[in-house]
Amino acid sequence: MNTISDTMTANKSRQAATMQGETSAQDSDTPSLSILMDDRKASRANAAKASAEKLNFWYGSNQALKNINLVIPEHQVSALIGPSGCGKSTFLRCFNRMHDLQADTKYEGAITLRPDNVNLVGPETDPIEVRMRIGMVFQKPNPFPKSVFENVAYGLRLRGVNGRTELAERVEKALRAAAIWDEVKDRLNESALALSGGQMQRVCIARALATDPEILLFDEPTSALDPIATAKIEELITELRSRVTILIVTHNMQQAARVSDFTAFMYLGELVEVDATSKIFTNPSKKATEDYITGRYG
Amino acid sequence: MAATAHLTLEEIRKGLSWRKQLDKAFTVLGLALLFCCLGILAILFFDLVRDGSSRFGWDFFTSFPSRKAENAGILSAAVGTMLIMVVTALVALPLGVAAAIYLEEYAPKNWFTGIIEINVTNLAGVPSIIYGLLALGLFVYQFNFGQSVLTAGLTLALLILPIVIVATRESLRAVPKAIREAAYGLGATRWEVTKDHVLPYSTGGILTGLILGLSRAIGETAPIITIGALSFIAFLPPSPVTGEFPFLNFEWLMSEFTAMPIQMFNWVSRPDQAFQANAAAAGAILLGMTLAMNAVAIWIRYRFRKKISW
Amino acid sequence: MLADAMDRSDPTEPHTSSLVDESVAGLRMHALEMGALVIEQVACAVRALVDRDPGLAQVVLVRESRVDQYEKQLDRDSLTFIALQQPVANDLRLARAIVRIGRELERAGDEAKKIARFALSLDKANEGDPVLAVARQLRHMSALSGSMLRNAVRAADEMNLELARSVLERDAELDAEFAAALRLVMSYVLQDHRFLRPTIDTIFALKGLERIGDHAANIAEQVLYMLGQERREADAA
Repeated sequence: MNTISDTMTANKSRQAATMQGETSAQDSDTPSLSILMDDRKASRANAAKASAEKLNFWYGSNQALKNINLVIPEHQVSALIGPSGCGKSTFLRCFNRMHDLQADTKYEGAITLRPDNVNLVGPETDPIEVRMRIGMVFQKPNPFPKSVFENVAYGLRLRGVNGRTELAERVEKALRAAAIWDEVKDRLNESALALSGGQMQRVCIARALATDPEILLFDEPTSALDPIATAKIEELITELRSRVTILIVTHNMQQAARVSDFTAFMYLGELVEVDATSKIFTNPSKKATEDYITGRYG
Repeated sequence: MAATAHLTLEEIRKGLSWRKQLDKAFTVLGLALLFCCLGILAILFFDLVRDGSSRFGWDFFTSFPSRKAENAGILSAAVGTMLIMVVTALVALPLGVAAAIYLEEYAPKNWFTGIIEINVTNLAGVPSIIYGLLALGLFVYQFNFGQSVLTAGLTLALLILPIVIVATRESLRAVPKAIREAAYGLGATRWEVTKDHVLPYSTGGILTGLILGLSRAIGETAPIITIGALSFIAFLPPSPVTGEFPFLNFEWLMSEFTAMPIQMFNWVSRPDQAFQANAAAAGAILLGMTLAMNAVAIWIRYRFRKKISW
Repeated sequence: MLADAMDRSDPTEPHTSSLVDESVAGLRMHALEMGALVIEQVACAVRALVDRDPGLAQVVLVRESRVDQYEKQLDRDSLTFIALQQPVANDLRLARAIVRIGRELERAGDEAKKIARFALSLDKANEGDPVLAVARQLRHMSALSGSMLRNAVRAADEMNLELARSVLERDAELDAEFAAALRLVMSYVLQDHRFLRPTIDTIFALKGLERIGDHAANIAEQVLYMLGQERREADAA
């Protein structure tokens, strides 16, 4: 049985391993809860990976996003919470131009991707190029009705990777990163639809990771899954932080509290408040935020 | 016990028995109607078979039409029908699938495409003789294809095009949006999404649609009469496969032809009673071919549905 | 409605789920009852001391177990609330504050108990008894600390920020009172050594009242905490 100090030491070394290159003074030998606080403080010094500037969005004549200004820090998990219809999924889908698949949508403002300062929603930017740099995992697991291998390899094939060995290598790497290699390594050529819901979702995550996206978008990734599968994916999300910037939309506030470093609260298409997750859930600045997270919807 | 809002068990049972009776009555009615229709079809079929029973045999299949009923066979008609079906399929499939893909995946949803869609569906209801007249003017005279297998194939292709388009569109629509989103999310272009994901999973529905279309085309008489199918053909179109290079020739396309419905019509209208048997036999065979094609369509749909479950 | 007209946190606002409201109301009600009980205990203990009423002192001693029960109940209920409702922000702060307030009240009740014990152990007042000499200060300090306790409990019940702040300010006054009373008692005992034992007891009683004031101040701090306005402490680990 682990003592408290055993667990804390394990956490400390794990976090040190994932925080590659981040400096934070971990000079005390006795682990303490302040590790998490230092982690969060150090992360506040992270560079921005993307920033939304004066972003507005319309479905036809209906304005769904109003003047959003939000910085997405690199190598952190940022969560978007808010009631139904607040625009969080709409905002998420601006990042990979999924709205372009529908008619009569309009973007205004910018989402600037660093470091090359591309405006993701600009009319001059090709949506296909955007989607090749920004990956997405959807609410209901949606693997292709192909084998597990082909699912993960599809993104690579689109990018011209066709050599068998290279594909096999990169597929394995992606499946390992998605913490599902051990479960599927003997069934790579079987249909992905034969897996359980949680496994399918991890294969979808592997599929998105295979192409090394710069930002990975999660649209309520566990709302269709049971608690154990949910826990595995939450664990995965916190680990993936070190390799990719993550933006997650979730209905489940406890999930946002568990996995994210920063939480943004949206309401009726506007950004109400954004701050470190620990601050939002213990003492938010805006009453509207507090009312929402404590269940006072009036 | 005091009166309560909910029903007691006796009250529930009393009301339920009437509803159950209605339920049973509808089931019985439905079954009765079904057996009626199937019964009529079965009676027709057996009637044909019985009338034509004297003619069934290898000779019937391998003989050309002749003045004498006993010697008359359906060789040229059967071959003609099959060749026409080949041309029809080869023309209708790519055209229909491409049109459906365009309408479903590419076309913007505006008033213009709306009009196109309405017209496609309406075309299915156009009387087939109109297609014959169109073909006569366009293919036979304008393009100078003559009264040939090619003309017949093109005409029937046009006839079944709406069926193929509609069936294809339905299959394309059946592919869940989630699959498309996943593919787009990985950076696929619209064509890649269609080619790699939508089309492969729609194949079952598309083939089913095609075969259903063909099984309709196989029995169409009016258009091919209009374009001038002859009824007494004592020869076969030239074989498409020859012994010398380039091993394929297309002369058969331009050859004159006959088809099963024509042959039947011709025999039925003869005063000689003996030919009725021939007509009946040919009819039974035609009906059998149609049923067989439908069965193949159903089997294909079943096989494809088993492989892919969303 | 989700209005952000005022950005002040209000833990008393009702939730969408009435079950949560009931749980929170239950917690606050218990804390209020316990507060009322402890206030009563303190008042009785001091009166027993000043008026030399052993009967009253006995009552206080007997009631002390109820104070302990309240504290345990509050602790349990708060834990259940946190486990079942997963509260965040102001609800979470309220749950934690209630436990701490319970603890402070329990300690104040302990002080009252000790004062009641002194009252029991003192003999009838004799000439020169230090208790008589400082009776005025005792009464004054007990009024002050009693009123601080009452105000702190009221501030917690009403979520009254200004009232809580005023309690914090009066703590300094109570400390000054204590220092003055202490000097008086010391001067008295230097004059006459016979009353050493009752003098020591008196000093302890005075200290007890001062500590009750401290507990009241701690309760007031928890009110600030619940309202999200806690004093900025130096950054502790």
